[in-house]
Amino acid sequence: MNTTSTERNQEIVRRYTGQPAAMPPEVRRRIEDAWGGGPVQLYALADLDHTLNLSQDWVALGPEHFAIHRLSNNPGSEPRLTIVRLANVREVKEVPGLTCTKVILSGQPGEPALAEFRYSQRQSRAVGALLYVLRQRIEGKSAEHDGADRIYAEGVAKPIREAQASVASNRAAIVWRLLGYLKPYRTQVALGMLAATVMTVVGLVPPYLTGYIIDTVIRPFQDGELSEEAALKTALVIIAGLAAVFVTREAMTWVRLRKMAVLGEHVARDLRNDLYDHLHKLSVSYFSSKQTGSIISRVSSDTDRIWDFIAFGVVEVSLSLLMLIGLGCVLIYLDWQLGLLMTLPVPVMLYMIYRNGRGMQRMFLRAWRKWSNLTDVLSDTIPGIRVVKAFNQETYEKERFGRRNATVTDEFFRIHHRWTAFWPFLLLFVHSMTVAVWFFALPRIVGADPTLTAGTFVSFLLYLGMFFQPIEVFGQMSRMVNRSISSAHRIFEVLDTEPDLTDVKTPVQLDRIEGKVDFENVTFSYDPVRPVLKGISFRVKPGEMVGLVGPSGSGKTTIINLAARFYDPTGGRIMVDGHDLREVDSGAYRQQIGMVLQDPYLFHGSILENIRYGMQTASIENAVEAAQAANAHDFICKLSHGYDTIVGERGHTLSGGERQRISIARAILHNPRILILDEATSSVDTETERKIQEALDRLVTGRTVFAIAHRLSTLTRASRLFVIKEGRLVEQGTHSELLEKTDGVYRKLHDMQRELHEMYAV
Amino acid sequence: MSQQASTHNSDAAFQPEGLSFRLRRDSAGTVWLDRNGTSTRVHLHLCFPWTEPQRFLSLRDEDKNELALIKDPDELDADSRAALEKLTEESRFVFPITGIESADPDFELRVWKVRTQGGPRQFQTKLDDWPRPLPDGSLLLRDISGDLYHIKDPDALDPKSRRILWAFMD
Ligand SMILES: Nc1ncnc2c1ncn2[C@@H]1O[C@H](COP(=O)(O)OP(=O)(O)OP(=O)(O)O)[C@@H](O)[C@H]1O
Ligand SMILES: [Mg+2]
Repeated sequence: MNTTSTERNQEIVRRYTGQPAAMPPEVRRRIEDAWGGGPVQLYALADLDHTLNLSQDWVALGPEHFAIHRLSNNPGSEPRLTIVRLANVREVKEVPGLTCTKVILSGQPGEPALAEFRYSQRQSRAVGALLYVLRQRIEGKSAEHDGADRIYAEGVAKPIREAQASVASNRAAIVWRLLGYLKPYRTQVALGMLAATVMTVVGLVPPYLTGYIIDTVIRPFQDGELSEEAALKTALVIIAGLAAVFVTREAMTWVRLRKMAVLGEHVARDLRNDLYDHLHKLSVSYFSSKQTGSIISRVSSDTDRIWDFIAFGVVEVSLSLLMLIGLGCVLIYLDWQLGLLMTLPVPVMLYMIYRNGRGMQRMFLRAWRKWSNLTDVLSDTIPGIRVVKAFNQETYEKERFGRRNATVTDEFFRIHHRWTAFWPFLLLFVHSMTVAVWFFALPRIVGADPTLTAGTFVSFLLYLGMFFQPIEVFGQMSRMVNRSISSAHRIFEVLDTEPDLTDVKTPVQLDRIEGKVDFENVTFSYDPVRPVLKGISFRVKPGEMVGLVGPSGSGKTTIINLAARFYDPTGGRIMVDGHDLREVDSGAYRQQIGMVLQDPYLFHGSILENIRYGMQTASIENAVEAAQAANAHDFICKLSHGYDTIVGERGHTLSGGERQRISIARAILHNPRILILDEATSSVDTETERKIQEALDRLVTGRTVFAIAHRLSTLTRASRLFVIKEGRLVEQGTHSELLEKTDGVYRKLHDMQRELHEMYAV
Repeated sequence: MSQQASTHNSDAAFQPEGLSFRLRRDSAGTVWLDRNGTSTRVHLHLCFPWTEPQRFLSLRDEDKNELALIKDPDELDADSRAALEKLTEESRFVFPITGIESADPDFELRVWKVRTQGGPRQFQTKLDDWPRPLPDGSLLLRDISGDLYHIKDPDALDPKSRRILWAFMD
């Protein structure tokens, strides 16, 4: 975390919540003056008062005090301060409600509360951080804390960042940045735009020629002012010109479409690559905070929408604008009175289209909601079809679906009524302009002193017909452009996420690690304050197998996450072969780590490919040997496609134990120097467990092994056991050493499991 | 938990339904459940916050063990009812919306600017998180932080609010 991310969070707090992005300096000063002992170390907003109205009260924690700063209800009078000495606080109680949580700080039992305040869920992270440290202090423990502003802003901004995942940015900036992706292709863009411009301008020529031929050939010929020969000669030139215009125009259209379509693909491809590369730089914490689907759609459908934008959006919108301006100029040039008559209503029409779009948006929103009501029934009942049948609810479900289907159709009817009425209405408006042109033009042509030629009039009418197209384009494009901008926003959001783990400039290359792992007073927390690991120190010798045991949530998985460098420790350090992990090339390091997890992941592909994942060059012989060692060979051969069976999503579904053995084979083939087993045998039957255990026994020899297990019996091979409790290493030793401690944690766990075993043993 | 608090969950099973306990509010504002000479500090959990907000109130201790399930507060004596009232007020609180200024999409979010009884507030929902219609015809919104907002009678709002709300109502 650095200052820039704090500033970003503050920006989000300001923009989206309307509450202060930090504690105002005068509030801080007043509090510090009042308690006269040290700085404000943590603070949060208590945004509800005792009458449950919104308020801007601040709560703050200092080295020895807790303070509440309340604005007075009547303006002008001084804010009220409540200062509580931490030494007097015996208990901090939270009373959670649906939205409001009340916090009570109490002293001696029976006495009134020392202080109380209320906050809404929005403040819960910031308040939670403060209360955590407060409670630690009361219990006499020291708690780490720094960066009050950071913790407050991060806490308030977090849900917003997670939902929108956004840095506050505006549309223009996004379009601009997107256009930046065209830079490498600037000659192509220039060519495409040039072609498009020529195409548009040339498109204005035919109506002009039509008018011209009427005025300079047809009329003079009919009036007898031009000989047949001369008339035909001029006519031929004009016809040739017309032909040339059409050829040029379509040639240009071809260039423009091709260039821009191809360019769009280039940009989409570049974005996809950038995105995917960047995703691999991000740490696991990013992926655990996002839904898989949303990440996938960013790489796939969002980049696809960018194609629309580049291939059509950019060009069509700028060309339509050009076309409108060009048409306006030509019309006014031909005849300024009629020209103005035509161009002045255009802004009105654009406004009408805009208004219509807004109205349609509300209808679409409503229809979308009803639509999702309808699909909810589907996503409910299709996966749950057995429950529906078991409870004989088909009729109910059919009726429910039918009702929602009817309401969504009603919404679509409403939408259709609207647009089917709007476009004819708009066209009528256009036509009324045409009628007006006729109305004003004809007297000027047929009058005694004609001020308008028939040719000009005809050109005019033809231009008029062209007027509608760009306006229509604006109507259609605004939706598409909006969608593309949203997509671009989502893409840039990922690209802007900075990886929290980065390798140092010149990392140490560990080509073959011995497997000596030292944790030196390692602390770690996932969120800003609550530590999960509190000073873990141990030394594991190369080739040693250690078991990690302890209650659920004690931090075992966290320890191995750190050992694999999925996260960096917050304090202390982890040494591998005497090198700080942070200075080691993480790619080369992970190459030598193998993991077998409780719920192993198989990729879509054949079993062979899955076994060879991580060691793509291994020979088939080696893969089979690995499978044999993993006790997997036997069941694989029983499958009708053997090692070629497709597994993973949509593939052949294997049982949990089978998948586990494949992932063990994968680890065996990978031949890691450090092996991590996180509850590798937790959810299988005893026979399978025995098979897996045999496989593991083969796997663990000759490497450093961290094994986590709830069933203590599976750790018999471990040379030492580390007992983890509440983030601390509380006991260590061999199985029998630990059992000797009669009131030890391990002894208790062990006795409990034996009891259970005896109770339920068949 | 304080020293005088001790719970005998097993006792509950032998007590007849109804007035086997009393609720009491102390000067610090804490509500205690007195039963068989022991006092336990209680929290309130609403079983049906929206369909039956007044009934089926679950009283639980610090560790969320149920001490009593009040099917109807009328079963209680007057003092207990008063103490209970205090307990329910805050835990049941949600922001009452009195008017809507706007509800516009901002990329992935919908930004609501509303007036509540306690002042103006701005919050966000996901684009496809729809207000939830409740059995009594009111609407409930939940923002991305988990705060709840309640529109008691959507039809009684001012015309602008109603127009904005139109897309979100049946
Ligand atoms: N990604 C995460 N973000 C925030 N907190 C987390 C995360 N992962 C784990 N924690 C918290 O850290 C603590 C330790 O979790 P950890 O997974 O290390 O426990 P464990 O000992 O492996 O438990 P179990 O035996 O149940 O697997 C838990 O309180 C958990 O809630
Ligand atoms: Mg775990």
